[in-house]
Amino acid sequence: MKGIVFNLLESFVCEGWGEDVYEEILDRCPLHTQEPFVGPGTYPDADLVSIASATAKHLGLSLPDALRAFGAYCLPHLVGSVPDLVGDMDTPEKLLLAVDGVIHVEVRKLFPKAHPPQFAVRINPDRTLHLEYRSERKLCAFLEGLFDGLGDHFDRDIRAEKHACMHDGSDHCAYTLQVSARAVESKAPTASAGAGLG
Amino acid sequence: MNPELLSKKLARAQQRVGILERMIEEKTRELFIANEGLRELIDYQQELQHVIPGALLVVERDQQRIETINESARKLLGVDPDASLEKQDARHYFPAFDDFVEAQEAPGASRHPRETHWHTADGREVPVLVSVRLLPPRAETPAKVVLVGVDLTERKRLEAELRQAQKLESIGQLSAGIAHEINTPMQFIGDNVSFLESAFADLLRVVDAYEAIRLHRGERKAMRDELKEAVEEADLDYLRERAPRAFERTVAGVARVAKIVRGMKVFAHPKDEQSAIDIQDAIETTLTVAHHEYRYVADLETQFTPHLRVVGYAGDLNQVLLNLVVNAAHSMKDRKAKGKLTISTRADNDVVVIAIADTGTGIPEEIQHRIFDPFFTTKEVGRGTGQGLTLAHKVITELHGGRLSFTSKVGEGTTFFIHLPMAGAARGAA
Repeated sequence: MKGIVFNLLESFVCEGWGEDVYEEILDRCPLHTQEPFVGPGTYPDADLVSIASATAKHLGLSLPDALRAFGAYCLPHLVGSVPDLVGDMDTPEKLLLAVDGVIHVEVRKLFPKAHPPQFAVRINPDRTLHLEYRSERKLCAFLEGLFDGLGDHFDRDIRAEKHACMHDGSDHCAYTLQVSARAVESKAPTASAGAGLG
Repeated sequence: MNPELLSKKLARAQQRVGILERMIEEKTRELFIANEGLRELIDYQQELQHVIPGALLVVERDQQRIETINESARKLLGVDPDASLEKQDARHYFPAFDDFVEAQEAPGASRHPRETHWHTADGREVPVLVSVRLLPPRAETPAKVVLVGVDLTERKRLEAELRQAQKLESIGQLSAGIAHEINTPMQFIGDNVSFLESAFADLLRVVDAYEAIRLHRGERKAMRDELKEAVEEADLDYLRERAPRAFERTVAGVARVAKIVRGMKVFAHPKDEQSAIDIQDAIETTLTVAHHEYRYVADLETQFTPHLRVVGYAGDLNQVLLNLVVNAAHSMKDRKAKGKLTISTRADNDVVVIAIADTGTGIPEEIQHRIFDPFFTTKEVGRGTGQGLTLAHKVITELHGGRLSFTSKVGEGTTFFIHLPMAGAARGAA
């Protein structure tokens, strides 16, 4: 996992619950990495899961809920880190359609050793999106948080209906995404099927 | 924030700076190595460009601007080695560039090299065999077209020589038959001339007898007897009947010989300029030269649509017709009964279609796809070199923009179809 995600997790905890909480969490985590995380670095996925699990425990949340909240937090930061690539993408659909073919291509150029997840996205006849997610990390809860953040970023409601999950034995997670204008009192979008790490 | 936490964060920040500095150094080193590798690759590629014998042009697809040109291309196009061609419009040297590339972009386009023409700096047209590859646009570079051309001037010259050699070879092979064709009229011309010579001597004797009577030379009765005898010997009635026919047949014989000689001359002439060709004339000339080949094996039937004309190379076209007629005759030679050679012409829109049909042995299906291959022949050694149909195909398709096709059934015969653009029609119509 790239260091930028670890840094975002640190910011997520520090901004929400204070720097001392993050230090406490970090002190309690058995990490493979002994040095500080830096954005361009690549670190074991287990370290992220370890910090995320400790954070969830500390905050009294389930790991999937913690990852989902973290995903929602990350989206605007990730989009903001690649303004040249996403400048023309003015809808969630455009951005989702470009993740695999544009954004991850650029990620691989910058970090040849990176292993970004695979996304297959297509537009259904009813204008909803069909999205398939494949990753050894199986971070579908984090992905669902990204959907939440994407809705907030574009001020849209995104309803994600999950049809398949890698945690249930499938080789991918599949979603139908319905993007609509945000109702004034709408709640944050939710995945209709169970989501989580495990 | 408590001092302990602050110092922990500060230490971590310092550590991060150290790590990032190391990463920058490492990336800088990687970049340097990658740059060196790239430079090496560029040097290698440039050397390669200049050492290949083909003329290399790399052209920007949409702007048609030359981006790279190697030494062979400069030489072929007659461009000064120091002149800068980069950024020049490729169409100046390759007028058909757009059509050529569009054809290459079409779905299912062949990747085989294609013949075309490039123009030199001084305006000469050079035949070239061009291989083309399309490089799709990349993030930082537009789409490009890589062209490698091979100068065909020498090959074209050799091909022309080969065609000429084949014509002379055909004349050589047909010479015994042609000699026979000439000998037959020469024999009756000789007989007629002998007859006319003796008739002329007889007539002179009659004339002399009349002359003696007119000038009152000698004794009258003896002169009359002499005249009577001369008239009887000359057999004037017979002469009146036979002499005009003898003259007629002699003139016809001379005309026949002249026609054969003229036909041979047309065949052997190495004329390489295009001209308007009357298809019926061309076929009749061919039949004259090939008469001896088919006369004993087939009856000839012709169905000509008059006044069909094409623009092309008369000698080469005659050679194609001769090859097809001779092949047809050979295919009927081994049959028990006399065959039938049918030659017809017709117009199909802007295309002249010549059909040469025989009732010979036919071409087995398993070798039909090979008959235009060079050196492929089913004839016994010494009878065919396997070049005739190859050259015929080349002459029709490449020199005349036409088509050569056939249908054949074993035991029933073969029909060859020559499709040629009619004179005045746009090229490519056939």
